Amino acid sequence: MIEPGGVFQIPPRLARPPQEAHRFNPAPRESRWVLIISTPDQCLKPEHETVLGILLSSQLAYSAEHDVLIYAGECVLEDSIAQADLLFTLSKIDLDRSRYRGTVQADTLLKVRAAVARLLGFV
Amino acid sequence: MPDTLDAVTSPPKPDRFDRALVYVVRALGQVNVTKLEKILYLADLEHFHRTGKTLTGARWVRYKLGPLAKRLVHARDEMAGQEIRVSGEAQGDRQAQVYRPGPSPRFEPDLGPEERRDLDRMIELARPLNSDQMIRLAYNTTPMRFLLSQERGKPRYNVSIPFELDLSVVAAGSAETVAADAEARRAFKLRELERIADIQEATLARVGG
Repeated sequence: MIEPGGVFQIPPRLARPPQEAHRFNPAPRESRWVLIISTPDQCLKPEHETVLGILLSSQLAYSAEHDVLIYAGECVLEDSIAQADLLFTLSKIDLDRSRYRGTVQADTLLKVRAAVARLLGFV
Repeated sequence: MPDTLDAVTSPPKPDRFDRALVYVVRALGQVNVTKLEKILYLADLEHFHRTGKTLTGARWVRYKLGPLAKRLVHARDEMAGQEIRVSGEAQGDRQAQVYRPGPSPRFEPDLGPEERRDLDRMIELARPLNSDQMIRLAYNTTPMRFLLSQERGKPRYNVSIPFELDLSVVAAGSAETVAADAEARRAFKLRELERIADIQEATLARVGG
């Protein structure tokens, strides 16, 4: 369900870099949650292979001015922050239905997009 | 001029607010008034962001427990005993008005697919949450955060909640306060950047074969 506001859980095995197999004692990886902020076109059209996502974190102790609060129950298991300054490209192949955790409210998506717009100097 | 009996027994002319209220009450089976209000508010806001219009048409005002539509009182009085049943019950340490489907509805809550979609989303969001969690969600919306930022710690009740806000206002109002010290945040951000690099490198390795 790749759509604007969609939340996906990236499992640890997809967050393990290839060179880690050669490391003696690789750091443990946890699954990470991402929020998709791309346009409907970018999300839906198959010719677009990537979308833009924001990394979520439940470590509220590190929240800062670019972060948007998302409360538990709205697609996330714990109160979380959407880190608007950690915007990155995701391949759609990593976002299959089994990893979909819901879609945030349009108001939450607006807040995250507004935070990105502010970081880019548009507002 | 209808006489009193006609006024009581004739079916009401349900507006969008009445239909949405009955729809939510039927979907949940029972719901207290605080949670019901917040569902309708969040559905209004969702519909507004998607279509430019609110779903119920109600005027929302800021109240102690978050958004409140005075239209709800009129709807309750108009539909109690027919489309809905309302009873005062103890819920935890509070006394609450609990709404249930009524015994003799005079209309069906016919709604368009877009209206149903937004109400269904908010009903599913709200289903596992209690009243306090719903209040928290409502307070975290852009209109409420904007009002709170204007109040500067001195609550002003009965003020209209503005749904249409400039993007710069949304951006300013949604920013979280800085929690940890700068050094701790720097270390945290570096770790987060590493996780992003991990995800992207792993993807490239799989896609590249």
